[in-house]
Amino acid sequence: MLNNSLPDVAPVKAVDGLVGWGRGSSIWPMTFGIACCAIEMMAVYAATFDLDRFGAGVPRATPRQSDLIIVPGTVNAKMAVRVRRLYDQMAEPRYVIAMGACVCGGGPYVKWGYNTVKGVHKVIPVDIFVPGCPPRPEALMDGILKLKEKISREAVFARRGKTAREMEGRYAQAPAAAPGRGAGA
Amino acid sequence: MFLSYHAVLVFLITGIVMVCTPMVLGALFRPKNPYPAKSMPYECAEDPVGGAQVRFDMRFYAAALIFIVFDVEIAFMFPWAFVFSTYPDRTLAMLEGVFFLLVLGLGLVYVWAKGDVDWVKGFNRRRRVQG
Repeated sequence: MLNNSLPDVAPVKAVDGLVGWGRGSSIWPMTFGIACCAIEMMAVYAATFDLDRFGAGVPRATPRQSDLIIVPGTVNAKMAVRVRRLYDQMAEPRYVIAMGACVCGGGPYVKWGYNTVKGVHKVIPVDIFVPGCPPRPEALMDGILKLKEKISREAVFARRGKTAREMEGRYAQAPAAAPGRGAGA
Repeated sequence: MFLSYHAVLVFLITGIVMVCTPMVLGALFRPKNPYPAKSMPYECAEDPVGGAQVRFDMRFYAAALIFIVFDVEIAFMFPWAFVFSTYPDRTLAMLEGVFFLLVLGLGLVYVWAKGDVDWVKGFNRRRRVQG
């Protein structure tokens, strides 16, 4: 109701900072794994690395309850449509972490992978790229912390930057179709 | 007279405030941006097929309950088997395990006798009557 509608003055900034701190410290990721990177992602959730230290350790089983979708693994043309729809069905504000070389830009399939989408940013707007094949759990944790920083800097009430709707206008209008085969080859 | 119920009033007001505050706060904080793909029912990213108010066969319910019998049985058998070798009185442990299995087996016998194991309930009994 009041999103990005108040003037960008000190008290509003203070409230924004408080809300951003709350949002960044209680990220709810979605239970979502595609390929081998998902194994590393599970390790991050589990006891050794314990993502719950950063408040992001409880993956939700439905996009309606999630703020964050970690896309871990190769996104092929068929899956890209599903990833797009899962992202669509998440509650706003929503964030995307692209995990692994395939999702960041095609990875080993960049030349000959005829059905691989060369980077999930072609389908959904990505906030944080975590490269690696697969990335170490520490790398994903670093990505989550970077996302936390990004969330805490975001304007919630203040009229600053672009609204969520403007930011993803390009994506919201586009049909949920995967790029054609051979793109980027 | 009603003064003695002031605690109820306080609880009532507290309850209403505790429910309304997060809803109002949420309405202030959250972005509102519905569009068709977002409002679509969640079906694991697939296109929803058919209506939500379909008839569901009640026999699956019986099958699920029978499954629970065995599911719980196995879940309890694992810790029992794990501590079995370290238990001081193995005969007692064995008897307790067997008793547990018997009780659950009795459940299966009951279900069998009631005809819930048959997919078409009472079909065999009716055939016996006819033949």
